[in-house]
Amino acid sequence: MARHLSYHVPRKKTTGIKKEAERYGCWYNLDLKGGSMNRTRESLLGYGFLIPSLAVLGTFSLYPIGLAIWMSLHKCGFDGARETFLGLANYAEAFGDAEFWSALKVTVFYALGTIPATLVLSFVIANLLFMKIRGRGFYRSVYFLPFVTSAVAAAAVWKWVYHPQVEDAFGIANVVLNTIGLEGQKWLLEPRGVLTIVFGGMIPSWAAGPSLALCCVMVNSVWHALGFSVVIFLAGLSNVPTEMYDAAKIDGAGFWRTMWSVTFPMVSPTFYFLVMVSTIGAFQTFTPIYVMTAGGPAGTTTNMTMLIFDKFYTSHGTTGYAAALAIVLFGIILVLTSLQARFAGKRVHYA
Amino acid sequence: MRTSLILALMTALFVAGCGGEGPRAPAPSPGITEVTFWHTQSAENAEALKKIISDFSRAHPDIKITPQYTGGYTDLFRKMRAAISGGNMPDLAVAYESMVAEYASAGVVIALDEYISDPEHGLPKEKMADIFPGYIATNTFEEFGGKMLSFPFTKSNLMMYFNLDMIRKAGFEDRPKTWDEFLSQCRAIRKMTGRPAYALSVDPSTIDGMIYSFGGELYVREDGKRRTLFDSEASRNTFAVIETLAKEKLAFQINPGTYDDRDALSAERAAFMIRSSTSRPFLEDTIKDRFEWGLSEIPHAEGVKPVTVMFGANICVFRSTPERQLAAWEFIKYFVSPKVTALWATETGYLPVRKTALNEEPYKSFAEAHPRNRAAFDVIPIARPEPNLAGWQEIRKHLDRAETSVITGLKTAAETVVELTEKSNKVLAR
Amino acid sequence: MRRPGVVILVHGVLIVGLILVAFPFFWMVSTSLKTKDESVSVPPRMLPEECRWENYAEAWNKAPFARYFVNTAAVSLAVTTAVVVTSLLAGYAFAMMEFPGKKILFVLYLSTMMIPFEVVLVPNFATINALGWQNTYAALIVPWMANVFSVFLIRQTLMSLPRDFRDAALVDGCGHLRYLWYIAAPLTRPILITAGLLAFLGSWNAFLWPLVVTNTEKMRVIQFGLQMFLREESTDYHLLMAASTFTILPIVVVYVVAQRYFIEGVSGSGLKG
Repeated sequence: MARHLSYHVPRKKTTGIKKEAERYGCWYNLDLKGGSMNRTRESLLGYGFLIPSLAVLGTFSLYPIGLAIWMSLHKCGFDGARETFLGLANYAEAFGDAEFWSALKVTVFYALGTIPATLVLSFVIANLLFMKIRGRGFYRSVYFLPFVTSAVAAAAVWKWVYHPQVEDAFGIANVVLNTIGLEGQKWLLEPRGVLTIVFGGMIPSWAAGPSLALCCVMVNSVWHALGFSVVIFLAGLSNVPTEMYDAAKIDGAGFWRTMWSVTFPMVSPTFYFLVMVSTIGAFQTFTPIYVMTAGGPAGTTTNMTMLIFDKFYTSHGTTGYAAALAIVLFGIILVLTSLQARFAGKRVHYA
Repeated sequence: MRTSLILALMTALFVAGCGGEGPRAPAPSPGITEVTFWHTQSAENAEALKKIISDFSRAHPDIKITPQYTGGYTDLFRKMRAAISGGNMPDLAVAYESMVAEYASAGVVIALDEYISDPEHGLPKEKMADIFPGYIATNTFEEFGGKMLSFPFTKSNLMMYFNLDMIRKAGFEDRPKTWDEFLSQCRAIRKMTGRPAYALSVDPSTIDGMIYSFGGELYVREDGKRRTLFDSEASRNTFAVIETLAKEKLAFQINPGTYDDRDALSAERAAFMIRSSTSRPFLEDTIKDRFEWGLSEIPHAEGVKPVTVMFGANICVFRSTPERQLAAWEFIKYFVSPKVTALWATETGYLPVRKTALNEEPYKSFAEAHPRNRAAFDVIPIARPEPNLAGWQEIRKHLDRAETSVITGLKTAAETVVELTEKSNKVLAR
Repeated sequence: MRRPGVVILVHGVLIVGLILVAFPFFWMVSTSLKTKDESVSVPPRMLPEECRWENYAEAWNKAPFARYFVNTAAVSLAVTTAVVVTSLLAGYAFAMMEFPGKKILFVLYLSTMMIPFEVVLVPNFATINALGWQNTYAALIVPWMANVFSVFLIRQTLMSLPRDFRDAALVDGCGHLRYLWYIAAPLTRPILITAGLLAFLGSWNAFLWPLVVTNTEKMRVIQFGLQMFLREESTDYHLLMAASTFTILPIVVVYVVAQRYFIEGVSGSGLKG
């Protein structure tokens, strides 16, 4: 009974198509074993399609990455000039550096805190915005606003919400806390971990979790990312052929059944895309954190990207080290995305 | 839709092909030396700067200064860094001492000593003596042969701002002069209002100033090596004061990067704030006549002479052709001349760099109009610069973290001091 | 079709979300109409005493915004068009075509998204200078003409098209190029619009790169103009918000128009029997 509700559009038999291909003399090649001419042609065409983007990316992304790798193996002067060859010394230094681990921890907390929340929320909202209700266009436009509101304006509002004044509080968050009888918090200025605040001093410092400041920043990030994720999901939902929904309705499938058998599978490539992109984005966040807390308090919102920025601009003589950190970050993201690709490979449904 | 796509594509290619302006504005006319000047002034200050530049052009018709606003100091630093590696450097730029140190280590900044002592174009001894010694000291880089690599430009001092009415209501006659007085005034005000008295903005320069005010130094040279003195008694006392402020809830921390302390002082939610002298005009605007307030140097320890910190940006000249370097120097000379510096100080919130600026209009009337207007100026002789060592920028970051740890109660003053010394010494050792 | 209860619930949820989501935007616009004192008053005010529309005129005149707008619009349009074209080509290649090294190339593409901007800033500037492009439109446009994010997005979308679309059409005597132009592109229109929109937005909001590669007023972009309101010791919030509002207005307009293309699904016209 369950299997019956699977809405794959039936595949055409391939042998019939091949005969037709031969009839039309079409270059299309269904079976890669045959026709090396076709294969070469397709390969060349494929490379041709890639050349425009590859040219730009090669010059402006791949080449600098290569340069960064090279820089990370040296101690570099302020202007990037190579001073001494250090081999992997910069990397060794990183692994022994408490700041590095702290930044890594912050980055991981941040990713865990923002990615699932953003995906779930935006999926729900996108579905709501996709329904045939009145004012759809209006809602969609409004939900896009976080993405276009200037970071400075948004930060100003959030700073008001999180205003740290405890006595005579006027920050919305503290007012809410006071109304339900709790003491106001210092929010963006609070470097203690959330678990410590909630459960008191029994929690050892290493298990205290992200600082309250970081949690506030995460809320801001989810808010900001919603606009973007909703748009992507909307576009992904648009791609689901209506026949599928129609067929589901004919079959008497209810809301959840349709969601499970039609929407999820068809949207899974989009989902996969968003997971990957959100991960890459979350690990490289800079501006949202910078405008809210500039890496404070006491470094509890300094993630890897901010640390790299710091080492590039504030510190002295650490250009090579900064490059090494960037490469480490790069490596981590690469590993993560490969894992995601492998994990998702089987589950993502491509028609 | 397809046709509009094609149309858009063609427009785009056309635009891209147009090219744009090219590296510099229209070709320079012969005989005129062009000098590009990167600065960070916007709004009214930018207008004042433009006026000074056009006055200069009239006096020096063979020099053309092109000012370019390049965002804030961090943005300027990033742009400069790209330019050092990639080309297209300006001739003049504003910079903090720490930035100049980095530029010097890349070898792109010229020393100004030869220009100063040059018989024809230089500044004679009396004129140099007229410039406040602190400003000369801060632009002299001992790490780079004791040369002057920059000149003062937009200087200011660390000042304590106070609400005199509130202080009087709490039973005191005048502003606190020592740290002990400061703490007792805070306590009394807190008792009176039920709220913290001091709006605290975490700031490394304030810590530096406090250490100085306890009679301490920030670093010392030993056996050709440098190490910080954050484990000295003066430093411990400083962090102890901060710890007290936190423990007894005498101060509240403001969100970094905001001006909440100014707002708090204006709205009478705080009696004290410690900030740059450049805040004075803004407070004038918002407080108006609602209550009596003032600014002074920061408190000091008993038995130590009053002292405060001087900061603000300087201006440096980059290596290029002899004509451009000389032209840049002429502009600097013009900018620090008494009349010009007096004008600059009156129009902006910055301080004049010359002692005799006090005798020049419009600064003269400005200073006489209200004692507050000259409060910062009077403090310049006791203002000390912060270290201009390479690496000090990073140490400031550690200072910031240290202060935050103490004021939020995350760490004790004693622990913080130890950690701070260790970290900062590591930086200097590089 | 739907029970009224469900409709009300959906509206309810959307409205609550709407308030949360739109509030900063609302505050931005409301602050843009306040006086200077009101804009920094503490506790903050929700609405201005009276609407000072002159703030917009004042903000507009603080910097040559007209020129900035022209620059930004031209650059953004060029970048968007280029991104859509290059990403469609690359996305199609990765989704529909086979060639040796495809997997590695795709990983290479993705890896360009994994490097923070600071690292690539200086080498790219050096490259621009070496090409003699400093302070030109080329410098503002070319480095952004390819966008892996869009490539990835398009690839995913194309791969999710039912296989029979591909098989059938390809059999029908057309090569990849014709398939791409006549079928794949129209089918994935919502995604292409999305990719274009995001590229446009990215270009519109760019600050750091334009700052680094431009030197004269004539070539500056909008975000640069916004910096003017951030002074060293204070921020003219009311003017900054006014400028921020008129800066994003074009984007909002573009989006309102574009979102109509997010129609509910492909009509299946491409699928042969």
